[in-house]
Amino acid sequence: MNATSPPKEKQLVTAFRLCGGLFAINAQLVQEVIRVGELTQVYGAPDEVVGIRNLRGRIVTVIDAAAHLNLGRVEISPEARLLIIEHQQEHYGFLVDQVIEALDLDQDQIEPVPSSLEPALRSRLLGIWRHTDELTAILDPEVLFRWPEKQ
Amino acid sequence: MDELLQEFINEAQEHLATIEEDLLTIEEDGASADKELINKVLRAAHSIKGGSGFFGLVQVKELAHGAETILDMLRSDTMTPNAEVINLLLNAFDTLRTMLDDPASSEQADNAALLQSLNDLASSYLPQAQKASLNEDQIFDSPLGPLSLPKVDVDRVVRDAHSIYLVEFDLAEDIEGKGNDIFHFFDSLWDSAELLDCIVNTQVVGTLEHDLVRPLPLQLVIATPLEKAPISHLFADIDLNRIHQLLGPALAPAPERAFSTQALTDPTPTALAQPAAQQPPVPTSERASKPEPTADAERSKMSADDTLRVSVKLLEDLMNLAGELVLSRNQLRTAVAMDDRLLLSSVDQRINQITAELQDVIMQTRLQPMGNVFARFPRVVRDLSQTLGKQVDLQIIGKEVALDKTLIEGLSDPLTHMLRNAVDHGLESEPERRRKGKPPIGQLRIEARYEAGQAIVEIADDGKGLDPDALAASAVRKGLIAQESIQGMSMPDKQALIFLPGFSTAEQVTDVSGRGVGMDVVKTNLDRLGGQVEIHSELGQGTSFRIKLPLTLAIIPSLIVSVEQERFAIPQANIEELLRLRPEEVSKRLEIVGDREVLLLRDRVLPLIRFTDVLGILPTYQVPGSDQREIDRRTRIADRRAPKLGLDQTVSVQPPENSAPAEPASSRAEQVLPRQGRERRRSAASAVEIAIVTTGTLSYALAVGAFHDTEEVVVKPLGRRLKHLHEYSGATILGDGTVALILDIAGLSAKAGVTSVSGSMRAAQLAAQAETRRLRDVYWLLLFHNAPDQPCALPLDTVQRIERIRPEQIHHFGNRRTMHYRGGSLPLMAIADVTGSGSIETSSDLVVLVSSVAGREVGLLGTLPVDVVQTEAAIDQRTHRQPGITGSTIFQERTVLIADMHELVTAVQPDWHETAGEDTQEQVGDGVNVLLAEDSDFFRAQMKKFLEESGYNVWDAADGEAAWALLLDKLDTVRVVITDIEMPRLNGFELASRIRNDSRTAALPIIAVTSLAGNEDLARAKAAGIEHYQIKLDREQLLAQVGQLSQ
Repeated sequence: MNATSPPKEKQLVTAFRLCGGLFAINAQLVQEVIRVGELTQVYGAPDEVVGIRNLRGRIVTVIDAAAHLNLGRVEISPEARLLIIEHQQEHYGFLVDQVIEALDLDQDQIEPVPSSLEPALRSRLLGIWRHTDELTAILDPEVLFRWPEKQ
Repeated sequence: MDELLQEFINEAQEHLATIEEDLLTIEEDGASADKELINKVLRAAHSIKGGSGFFGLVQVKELAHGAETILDMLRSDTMTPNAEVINLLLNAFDTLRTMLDDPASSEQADNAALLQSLNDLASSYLPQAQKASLNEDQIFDSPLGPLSLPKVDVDRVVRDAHSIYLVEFDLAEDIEGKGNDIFHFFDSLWDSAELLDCIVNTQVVGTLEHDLVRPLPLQLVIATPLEKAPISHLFADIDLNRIHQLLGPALAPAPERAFSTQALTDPTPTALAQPAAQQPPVPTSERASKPEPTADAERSKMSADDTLRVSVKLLEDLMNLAGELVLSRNQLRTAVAMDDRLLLSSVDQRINQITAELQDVIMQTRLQPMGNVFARFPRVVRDLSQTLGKQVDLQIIGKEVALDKTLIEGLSDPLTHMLRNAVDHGLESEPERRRKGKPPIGQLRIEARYEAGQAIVEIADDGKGLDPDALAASAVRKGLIAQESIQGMSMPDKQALIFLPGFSTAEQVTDVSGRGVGMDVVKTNLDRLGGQVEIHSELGQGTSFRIKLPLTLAIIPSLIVSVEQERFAIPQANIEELLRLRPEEVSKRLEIVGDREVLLLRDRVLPLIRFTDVLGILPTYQVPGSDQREIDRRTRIADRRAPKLGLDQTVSVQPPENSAPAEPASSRAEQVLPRQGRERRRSAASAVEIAIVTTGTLSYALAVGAFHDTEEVVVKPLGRRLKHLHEYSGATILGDGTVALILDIAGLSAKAGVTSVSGSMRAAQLAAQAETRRLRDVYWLLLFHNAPDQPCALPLDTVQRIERIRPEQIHHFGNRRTMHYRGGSLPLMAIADVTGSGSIETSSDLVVLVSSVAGREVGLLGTLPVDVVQTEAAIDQRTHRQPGITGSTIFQERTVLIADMHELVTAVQPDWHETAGEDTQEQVGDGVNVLLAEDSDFFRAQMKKFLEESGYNVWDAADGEAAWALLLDKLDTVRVVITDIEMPRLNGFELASRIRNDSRTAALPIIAVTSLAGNEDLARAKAAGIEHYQIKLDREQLLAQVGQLSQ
């Protein structure tokens, strides 16, 4: 999936809040949504890695989605959740401020990313969904697993 | 297409992997080489040629073809497989392997020279008339245009009376229809036809049927004894007009040319007889030999490293266990639902058992035989010994020893390097061996075996061995270590210098092992695997490297430690000892040298790594009197100055903090000296817990927050995002479900910038410091009090036990005191008995220090507090000297009297020795001359005194040099030598070596004396020729030993 081929017809997305903004990602990728639980900090890890945790015997790398997207940092509140997503046989937990709901989006409801957005963020989005007064940014899952070069 | 290519490459690489071994066997057997084996190699080359032609890998195709020509000549006995031939073939297959590793850039490879060599080789075996055929092409007319084929191939076809056909074929039918892959297609073709060329002609695509989704059109030029009809069958029943005959069968009679299609459909045709020709043809049964196993046709795109072959048996076991697990889960649910405790406990047991079995079986699936690594060694050794002109006999033992997959993979490079080293630097050349009277062929042995829960891999040669002094000199010349630090180094220490970065033993760096990769890299790699390497080498006799490996990496016993609320696991294999510095010891035992903190541990100087520093954890400390923790701004632990404690305050009785729990001396102390909890609690906030960890050659001290339990932890790999953190080797899930990181001791030291301390300049300084500290002589004293404010001490070594007693437990008989002790009565003495100062018998803090005098136990009364202290202060043997008191010393600004139990006993009960029946002791000495070398005035005086009391005549010297001079002077009279280890000028080891190496003194018995016997000292002492080891002030033992040796 990439920016040039917008999702066909209906798409189920998981919507979540991140640093005040609304975001969504293809719900099929999200295996489960869990509470943050007990994290073990990994000293020396890249900035966006908050820690690791045990998920039924698996080690999950927990990524601060806000830090990863250069939006700031997620404050771990009782509302905070981890979106468990598997990538190349590894499990990642994306830490978000709050998970809202699963949305069924029509393809034609999705608008192209406005060019006024910050380019760094724009390149990570597939599109924008406008609903009532709020904008939901739909994340490109491919970009989610693109890491900055090791500093 | 990519998928097909990947499959082909996987398949080809797998075949290439076995070819090396086959070629070596062929070489060994020479002219009598197994034709079947040659055929096998030829077949693989053939399939690679076909596949690479199909994928347009021209360079690969040409090289495979070149190799094929040579192999065909071997098969037909035109050529004998000698070393030269096999060399070239190995080279060709190596190149093929490299090219196939990276097919995309294989076209840029320049193999002209190699191809030319292959060509030249082939040509030299051909009759003059045919030589030209190698470089000539023969042009054929085909319906698809002119086609050129190498003349040498055409000649062969003619010779074999085969025909040449051009077949237009679409591989898609075969691949898609049969689920085959390219490699197997060409492989199976081999049974009935020889592929001469394979051309992908894009222009042809248009002429083919268009209904195929993915047409894979190609033209194959094949040589076969078959006719069109069976050929059509061979190629998925293609239309006969797509098969064009380019060359008819030769005139030679070919009686068995007719083949039925039936024979071809048979998956393993057995009777594809070939026409007889003047050249002995390959027996057909060989050509038609069973195709290579194809079970792995489902190979995925994943790289070979990510997949693993597992026996079906193991999988079945796993299935069974999984089934049982499900059953048990159901039972568990029932038990929980019914709240049935009995059932619950039985289910618990069952699950326990199944888990253990599961773990076991899963472990087994990860095991691979060592043979996988060893397989390439014959080749490595062969090539290398040829290059160097050495003769080497390689012996491989233990191919079947199975190790974890990651270990097997990780071992390959280090072992290869060590093997190369052994051939290059270890083994001598043939003339040199003859000169030394060794057998001309060098012996090289590589052996894997299990030993005590570990796997051992040993590489041993019978070459020249490592010269410790040459190594040391070389290391100094290269500026890797300081000249001064060499003196204190033992032979193994010097030999271990080869692991220093930047070290290479060869005077000239050869292109063989001197590739910029030294043994330090080998060491690092082994460290990473959790392996430890030891060197055993004898000059002129050979060298052996012993690598100890954990049997499996996935489950390791580990010590859980915590630092600032975070828990970490340290693999037990890395831990040497654990110790705890009390607050008041911190400043004494930790020093800052240069930019680094070091820990002084016995005679070792270890770099100290603070966990918090390396990992960037903010250190905090407990705010006294509250539960809060605050950030600790002191930059170094060594800066924490402990509050000055008076003697009265140091109440704890603890074993000397710097003696390891593992050590005999301290374990004894631990038994006898009761711990007091009070002290621990009071100092917990600023005491330092230290783990001494080792990577095998590098040891360092790791300051952690607290020690917890030992657990068997299951290692789980960290995610990709964290893989680059070498300080962790993985993570594990602890009993409470939380995750702990597992520390990589080697990686952690690298991160902290700690390298081998024993080799660095800084270490040289430290070693020198440690040396001077040692020379100042450190005493262990057991402090106690006589009257309050009258501190006294006994040398720690002389105290066996401490007992708390109440005053009413003392029984008086006249002027003698006893107490019930271990079923007998223990005579009690008191300092006051000789000094006359203040009786303490009514004190409520009474203790009895139990010692042994003349074979009997005797107790000395004292009062609390009792403490064990280490002091370097001089002992004044005059001021307070009186019977029972050997002298005094100053400790924490107070005078401490040092008591001597022997004298006390003699002074208080002059008849003791007679009643003890030890009167024989007096006569033992009988004027025998004993040489005593000891630099400490106190110890020398003490030992001299009791030796003389026992009737010996003592010649004493204050250092090794003086002792040696004295010994030469009194050569004929001295019967026993007693020497201290640490002495200026010439130490005890050196003195012993000198005595052993001089024929006049070689037979003298030597007793080494020390204040504390460490295992490493014992080993060194043995090496220096010292047979006996005694503790300095253990009078009884020492006298017994001297008595025995002087008789």
